[in-house]
Amino acid sequence: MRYLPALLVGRLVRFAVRLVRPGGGSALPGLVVSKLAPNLVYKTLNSFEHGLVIITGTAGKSTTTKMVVAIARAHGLEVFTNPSTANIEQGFFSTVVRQANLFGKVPGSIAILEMDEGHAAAIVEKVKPITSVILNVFEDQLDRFVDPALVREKLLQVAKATYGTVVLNADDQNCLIIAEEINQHKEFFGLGRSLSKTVGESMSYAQTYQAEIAIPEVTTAAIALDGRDLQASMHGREVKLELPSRGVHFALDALAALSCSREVLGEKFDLALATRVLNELPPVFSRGEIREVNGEPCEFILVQNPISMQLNIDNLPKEQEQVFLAIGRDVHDPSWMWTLDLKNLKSVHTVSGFNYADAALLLAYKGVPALKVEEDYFKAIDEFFALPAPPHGIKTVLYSADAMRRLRRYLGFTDPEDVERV
Amino acid sequence: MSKTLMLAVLYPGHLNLNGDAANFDVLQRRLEWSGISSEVHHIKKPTNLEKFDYVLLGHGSTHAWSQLADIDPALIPNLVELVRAGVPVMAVSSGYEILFEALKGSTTKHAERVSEFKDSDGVVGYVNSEAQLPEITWVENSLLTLFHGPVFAKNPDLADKFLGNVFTTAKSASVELSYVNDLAAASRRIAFED
Repeated sequence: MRYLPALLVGRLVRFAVRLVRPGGGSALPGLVVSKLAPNLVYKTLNSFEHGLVIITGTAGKSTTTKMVVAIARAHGLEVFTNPSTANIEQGFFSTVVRQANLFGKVPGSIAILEMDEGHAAAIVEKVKPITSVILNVFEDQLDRFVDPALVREKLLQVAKATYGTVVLNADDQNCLIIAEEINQHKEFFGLGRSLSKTVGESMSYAQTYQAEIAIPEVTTAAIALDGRDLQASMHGREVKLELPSRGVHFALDALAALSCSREVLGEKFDLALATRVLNELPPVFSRGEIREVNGEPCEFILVQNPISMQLNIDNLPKEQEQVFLAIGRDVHDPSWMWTLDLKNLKSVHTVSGFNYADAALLLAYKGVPALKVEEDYFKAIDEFFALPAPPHGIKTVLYSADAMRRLRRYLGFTDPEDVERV
Repeated sequence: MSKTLMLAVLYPGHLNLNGDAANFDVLQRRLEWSGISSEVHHIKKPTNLEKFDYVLLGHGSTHAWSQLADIDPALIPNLVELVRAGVPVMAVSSGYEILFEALKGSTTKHAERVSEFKDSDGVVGYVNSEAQLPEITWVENSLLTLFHGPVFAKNPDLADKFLGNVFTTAKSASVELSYVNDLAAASRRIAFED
């Protein structure tokens, strides 16, 4: 009963936040509870029969986690997991507040969590994962991390704290440096030699500026990728599946998820079942999610760092006549947008969001026509969705996390689980 | 027909951590909108920097600089010569620090890291550095700055000052220039909004 007062206060805060902001406020209840009962989350995360699985790295955490959770659940495991918007310490507190009973116990025999690459190193000082997945290191959030090598150092701490298997991306030299530093059992996933030099070219992992490390044996590897169709081999067995969204990054997420699931499930792992799960899985919200607004389909794409924006731009369909670009307050320093190659972005219809001026400057200097620059975000949203459907393709929204939250709240898309596979 | 100006971006694979290289794309566009032809060259191992009218040394990680010191030990001494000869060199953040030390024969002091937008006499930019240096230092025609990323896009007057006489004499009130200059004013204002 020692956590009862803290949990009650946390629930009350959560209720109050939801009254004023439906679908929002995932951090505040956690902040309150973290002050009142700082050990609650660690006690909870240490309590799972089958342990804690951590999925971390710069990009792909949400999709990979969603895949592993779905595969584990299909195999009968009761899983505790976190929403993608709650992957830092406060978010774990909020998730526990939402799901725990009044004794601080949450349902589930295993915890499978995505963790922010900056926070995971601190968390593993208190809770050791049985399995960890290190997806990648890209140049990202340099106002926070300064140097990608520091991110690699943090991920190394996660790998070192793992007492079971560490699943690593064989295509990323940063992951191979981590692999050389640890004695844990390692499993590698990757695109394989030929694909990493073709479709994998756009995966511009942070450079290490060190002598290249030879690629180790890749047990879960892609063989061919065509749009959403992925052919792969896993420990000698071939598998074919359709990804929830197009793009080489989603293929890598799926390979990581298969490799991780095999480690998590052990002998129970059924590759055919895992494949079926991935074939039916809807995308994580705003990762290539298509939904209707005013009776017309629109694709929603979250761009939260240089690599996700680059890959999403590279994967835009050829027919894109109405693109809405909104960069919000979460992009503290918009400098990274200037590292992007925008050749696949033919034009933008509307530019808006808190950082509309920087986004519009970028487009102007990179030679991408922008029809309208609108400072008032909600006016921009209203006018964009009032446009007649484009003659070719569908409306496309590219937005950063803050712009996403504001738009979704404004349009009433408040349930992150309400995403259908198209 | 006037000569095509040559712009060199040095080691963009090493020294473009924050998009510094785009500053020269900004210069190229501004020149183009003013009717001046220019070319931007991304250079891995510069051998004849004398042919360039403008040179950019961006910011890179410690590991990137360490590898550069091995593969091109003459890089900084060559740039010192260019700066002293009056060639406009733009050096950003760690590029500023390293070039400034070579120019002055001094060692830069470090303090707690600053990671925020700053205003230096109306020039606005993002600083993410521990170096105790002024945000902007001019040496001859060269611009050394702690402001990383697209500082020229955000501060067109600074870009035009760096371009020097070639730009001021040709400058015309093109629609494109007034469009981006207005956006830049908004961008500088937004940098300090909550």
